[in-house]
Amino acid sequence: MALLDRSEWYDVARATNWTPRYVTETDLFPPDLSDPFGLPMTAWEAFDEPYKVSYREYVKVQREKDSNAYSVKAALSRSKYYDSADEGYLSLLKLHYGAVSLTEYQACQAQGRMSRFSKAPGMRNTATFGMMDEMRHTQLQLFFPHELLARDRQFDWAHEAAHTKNWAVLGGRHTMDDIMMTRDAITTSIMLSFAFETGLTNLQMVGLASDSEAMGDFTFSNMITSIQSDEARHAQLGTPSIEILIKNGKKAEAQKALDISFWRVWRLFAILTGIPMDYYIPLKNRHMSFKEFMHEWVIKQFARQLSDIGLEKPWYWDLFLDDIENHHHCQQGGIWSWRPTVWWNPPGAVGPKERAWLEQKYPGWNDSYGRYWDVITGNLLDGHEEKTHPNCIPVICNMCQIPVSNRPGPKWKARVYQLDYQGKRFNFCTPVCKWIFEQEPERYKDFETIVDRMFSGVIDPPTLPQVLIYMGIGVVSNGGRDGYDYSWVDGHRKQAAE
Amino acid sequence: MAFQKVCGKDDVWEGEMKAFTVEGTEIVVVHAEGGELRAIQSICPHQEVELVDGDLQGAVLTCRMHLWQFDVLTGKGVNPDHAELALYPLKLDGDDIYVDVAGIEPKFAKP
Amino acid sequence: MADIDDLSKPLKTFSHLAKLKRRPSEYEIVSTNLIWSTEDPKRPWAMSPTVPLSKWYIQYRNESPLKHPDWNAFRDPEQIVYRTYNMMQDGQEAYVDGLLNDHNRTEHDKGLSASWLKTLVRLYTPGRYPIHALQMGSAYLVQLAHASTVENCAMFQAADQLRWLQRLAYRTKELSKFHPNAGFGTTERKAWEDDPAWQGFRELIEKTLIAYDWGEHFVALNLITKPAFDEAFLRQLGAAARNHGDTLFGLLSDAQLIDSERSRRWSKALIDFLVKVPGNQAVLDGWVKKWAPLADKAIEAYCSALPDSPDAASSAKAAARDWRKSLGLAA
Repeated sequence: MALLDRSEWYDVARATNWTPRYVTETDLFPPDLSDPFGLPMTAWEAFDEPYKVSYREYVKVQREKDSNAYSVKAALSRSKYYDSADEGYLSLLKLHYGAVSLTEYQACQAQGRMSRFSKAPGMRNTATFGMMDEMRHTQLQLFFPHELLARDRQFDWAHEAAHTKNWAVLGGRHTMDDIMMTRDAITTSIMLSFAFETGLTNLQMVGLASDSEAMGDFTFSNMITSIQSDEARHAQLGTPSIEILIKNGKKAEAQKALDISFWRVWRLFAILTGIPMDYYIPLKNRHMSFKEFMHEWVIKQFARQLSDIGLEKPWYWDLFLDDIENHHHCQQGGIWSWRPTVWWNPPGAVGPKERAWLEQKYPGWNDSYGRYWDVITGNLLDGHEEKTHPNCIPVICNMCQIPVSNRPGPKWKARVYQLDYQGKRFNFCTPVCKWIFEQEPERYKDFETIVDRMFSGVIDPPTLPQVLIYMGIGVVSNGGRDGYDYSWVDGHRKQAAE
Repeated sequence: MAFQKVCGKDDVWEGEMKAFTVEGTEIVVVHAEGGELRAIQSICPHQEVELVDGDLQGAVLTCRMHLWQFDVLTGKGVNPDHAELALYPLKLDGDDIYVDVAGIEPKFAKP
Repeated sequence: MADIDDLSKPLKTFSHLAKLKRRPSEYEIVSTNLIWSTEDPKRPWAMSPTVPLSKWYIQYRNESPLKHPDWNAFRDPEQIVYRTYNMMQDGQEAYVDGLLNDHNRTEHDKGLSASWLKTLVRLYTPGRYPIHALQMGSAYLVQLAHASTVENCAMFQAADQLRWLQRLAYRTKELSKFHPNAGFGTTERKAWEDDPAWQGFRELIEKTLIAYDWGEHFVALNLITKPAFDEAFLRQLGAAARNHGDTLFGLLSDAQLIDSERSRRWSKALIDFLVKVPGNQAVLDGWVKKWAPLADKAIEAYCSALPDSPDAASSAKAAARDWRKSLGLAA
């Protein structure tokens, strides 16, 4: 007899529920942290994570993965790649690291909650690996940008962003705190593991890996792919939870958790991934539009997965499909206009060739978003750079914390969805963000948007220089400028001359 | 439909995999260690990643994206074991490999 | 103006580490100052301070009587990062694989006496419950940690507990193959829930798990429960095993103690770090006094069931107490 196969003993290591005697079950598993749906312990013992790994396999495989990932890093310090890298692409990297690195670390605590408070032994063990995985992702995504600090101070945001109150950080934090830091173990497994990691994380990880490969940045693409390879382990935590809830008559509750979190994460990822794909990656390196990517990687696949596990598409599916055509184009315009407030250098990058590409990928782009950029282009051609900086204050959505905006042009759809609650008016970008608020107003009502903070005295005086300091601009690093120093306007200048 | 010629045996060495399109269906011909040949679905039952980019060791194919593993001889999932690959009938005629894709759809598994 | 404040100058390291004025270690680059939910003590999360999880963090972490003005200054004495943890543990696991393989080949389990098998099924294999409970408790330390450098130590500790949970499951299965009618794999839950030998540890562990104040949880888990369990279960049962021809158990528990020693080293470092702050010594001593009697009771109940080990309980209690004393705490 040789060593036993994992399958022979694996279930013994998951038979770890017992009936408490010296404390109550409610004390041991408080519903607010554990299971608010009231299923018995035995129902959760049916939890089966399909992808299995032993600790012994884990440390071996992860050691090998790291040995590969970090050997690339050793090459990075000698590489000249970043010295001549495209500025738009560098913006993608800065945005990614600032948004992601410490969020991964926060996820360790979410995994810790599932590991401690789930009544499903299989989830407790798998989430223990999940904590470790998230630690890995944090450490890789701090170590790599650290190498880039000497060339560009904006990479300091990989560590500092989460410690600032930059508006983009507040948006990300509001979403992630909602779906993974303030939910019980079971809801976290639906919102974080299923909606986020199974449904949408491919956007960032697969999408960015192929983008960076196309850019010749194999250091980054290898790292991201290596990170993604860990997801099979902990991203699977949501599926068995949902199945157990459905089996025990809690489908509506599972569906609602999915509907809330999928939208919240979508609003974030469209910015994080959609803008870089369609604007920051140089035209010659783009292999797929964001919309194409969404259809191939998210819509088809996620819809199938939902039906496989017995859930419905979210009720706002049509609004979601519409948002794929609009949200990131709106925010590209907004972020570019407010470029001094961010820690990367967003390129406008809408020269004649880029516009032709956008029109082809998003028919009608010229007649809508194009008009917005026409004004900007005109000002730049006329030498009025100062006119490209807005002097109005945007309306911020009280849910996603992103400026309210929509498709400009003849069919101007921009409107604010409002709600009066306890004598206060709340603004929302879409019916979905408003719906989420209505589900639990007490949860959301007292969070001040960045604009609220200008009026409430938190940012004092509420002047632009003070707002910038409040947001970490000029403190951590300088704020953004056009990534190509407006060189994309040259094509229009030539056209105008002809 | 019936068997279609896909390639020669020399095109896929032992230990290699290659992707082909047969009658509009994308497949991968796998030449497992020991000489066994199989035709499998081209994408992973997990998340539509190309299996041909994965890693073949003996008869175990590991998808590059999330490391799902399959026994290519049977199509059965090794980890997770609820997953399964569609296998297409394959035959050798001399040194030519023939595959029949009729009526077989790629399989998907719950995430 | 220092370079660090001059935004036109490049950085040699993250700005928060630049004040060190030296090249930071890999550990410092990837492990320090990663938590931001402590920055506003009244509002850990963007959600309302009244949602249950916000209240939980405020009450049990922010308002714990155990205080430190700068938790982020804590350092793991061994500066372990994820990458080095796996290298280290892959080596340790290869060693354990070797032990299991060797003993399997020589049919070690076949030679165990009937009376020793009874001890194993009563006092060894039910250990998966407390080992897993310590994993859960370690995960709680992760969930509510004040600083990433503390949180990382707790994560490694949780992973270590999972390691030994699985190795114990492995041994349970292996023993059941050699001795299918001895109760391995089928009687452990009943033993854990009803056998008097386990009830002390069960009470201690259940109560530890609901000691939700972060500081008290750390004391109850890392200074009281885990050391007591390790002394009784690994060291005393391990000694009895050697006397009963179970060499494999002795070697496995030695391997497991390597992880326990690491837990003690970071726990000691954290205590050293904490007692420098006025007021903490009394808080820590208070908790030790509250929890130590329960642990002594647990050791006594468990060790009294060990065969031919009249001194086991007193040795285990003394070892746990001596260690706490070495930390400068009330024993």
